[in-house]
Amino acid sequence: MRVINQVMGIVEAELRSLLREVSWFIGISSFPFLFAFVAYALGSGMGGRPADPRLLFYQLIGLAMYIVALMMTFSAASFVREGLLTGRLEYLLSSPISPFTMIFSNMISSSLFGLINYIIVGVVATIIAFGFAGILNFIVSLLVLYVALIPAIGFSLIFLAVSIIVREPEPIANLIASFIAVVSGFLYPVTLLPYVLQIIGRALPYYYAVEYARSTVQGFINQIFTMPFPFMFFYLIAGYLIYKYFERAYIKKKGTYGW
Amino acid sequence: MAGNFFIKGIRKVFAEFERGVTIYVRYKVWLISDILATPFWVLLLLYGILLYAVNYVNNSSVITSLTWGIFLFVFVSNFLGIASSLVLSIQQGILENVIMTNSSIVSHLVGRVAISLIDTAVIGSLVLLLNTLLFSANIFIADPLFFVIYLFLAILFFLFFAGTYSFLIINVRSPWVANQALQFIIPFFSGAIPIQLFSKGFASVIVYSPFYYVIGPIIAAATGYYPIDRVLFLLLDILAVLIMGIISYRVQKIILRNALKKGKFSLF
Repeated sequence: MRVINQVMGIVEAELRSLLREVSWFIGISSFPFLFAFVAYALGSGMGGRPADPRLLFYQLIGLAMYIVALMMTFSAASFVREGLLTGRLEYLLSSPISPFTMIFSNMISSSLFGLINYIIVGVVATIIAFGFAGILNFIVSLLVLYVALIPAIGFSLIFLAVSIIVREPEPIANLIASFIAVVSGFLYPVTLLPYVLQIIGRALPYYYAVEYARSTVQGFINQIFTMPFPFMFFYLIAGYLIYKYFERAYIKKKGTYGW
Repeated sequence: MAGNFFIKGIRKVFAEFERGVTIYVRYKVWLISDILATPFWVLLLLYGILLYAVNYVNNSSVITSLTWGIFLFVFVSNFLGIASSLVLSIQQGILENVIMTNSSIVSHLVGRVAISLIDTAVIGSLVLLLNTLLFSANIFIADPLFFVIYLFLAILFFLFFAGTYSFLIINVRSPWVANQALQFIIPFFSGAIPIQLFSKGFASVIVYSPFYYVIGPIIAAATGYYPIDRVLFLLLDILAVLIMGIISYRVQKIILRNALKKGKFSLF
């Protein structure tokens, strides 16, 4: 019960803090529309006639998904980084709360924002490509998406472990984010990529999450059972173990995050 | 007297330039991260656009044109960053001290121009190199002299543009949102992708963008395809820079008057 209260408390505080930055949220939400509509206009201009709206849907859903994936992957590390810079982390660490609870709560609040963003972008994309009839499938895709993204929490924990020992995690996040974006099929089918990048993409959980979500909205939910997804939960276990090792070796021994 | 004024002006510009370079080299990790991440962002952007024209993936001439488009995207993104730097200067109280030294606001931006130039040179070159290696883009500058002239004019134009635009976004809590929108809209709808790749209807819309006469000439000189005479392009480019310079000068005057009267750097 105590842990639940702790989680609720942090989630509420984080949501309040995020709600204060409405323009930040607008900026994040507008990015999928900006990129996808610019690409659609350029594609239509190159083809000499309006391009297939399903391609617009493909990119809008992919970009909204990309934002959810980034929020889930890097939120814990940026929470710790901001906490270090503002001094908030020391207060939290001195309180009777486990670092893991703290990080887990932060992931929940960040993914909630990602979810709202996904709903806004996804509803527009679904209506454009499949009309209002596609909304029911879209609602199912929300559930599918979140189950498929659970292994990404493992990545978040691995990245958090990295940020415990690296002084500036943001440049590393920039590099990882760019790599994930390319190989995971958010904007285009991975089959367009060189073979090596296709293999790497298929070994990461993001590829499955985006493919599952798109298939569900398109009404092909049965396709998701044909993909070898369960092995992805290996990332969750690996992430937890790696994080626990770094927590013990650095946080508990030295009393704080970072070198 | 005039010589003395000129030397002082040059010194101010060099001081700002040195400031920009000093700040830039302080963030080495970011530079390395940007260099390593660039290939991936380039792939993402290129494939993202080519999703609509998959048949062009192996077309070297189209890939070459798109490569120049991405180069211009990098250029415009970096130069829009100048506007955010001015907003930061105002928020940190630096601009007030700059004005007290009798320097112009635009000259203060030269430091950030240095960063934009280095970034464009490093990342832009990487974009050209990568697309040559990965997609067999045939990168060469068809008209080098005019390319350099047009690029120089574009730097001036975006310096004035950023100086003006920054005062429009000063009251916005997250100016990067506006930058994010403009960095896609300005280059791609102003000729960063050569207009010959588009249908006639789409191309005829692009020529109405005022930015086309700054961005379009660079692409034309790079690819060697001039939709209009290159001297006429040059004249229109110079005209665009002059108009932007005058707007920037007028806005700066209004801003300074507002700052003295109301104590805030804002148009509104």
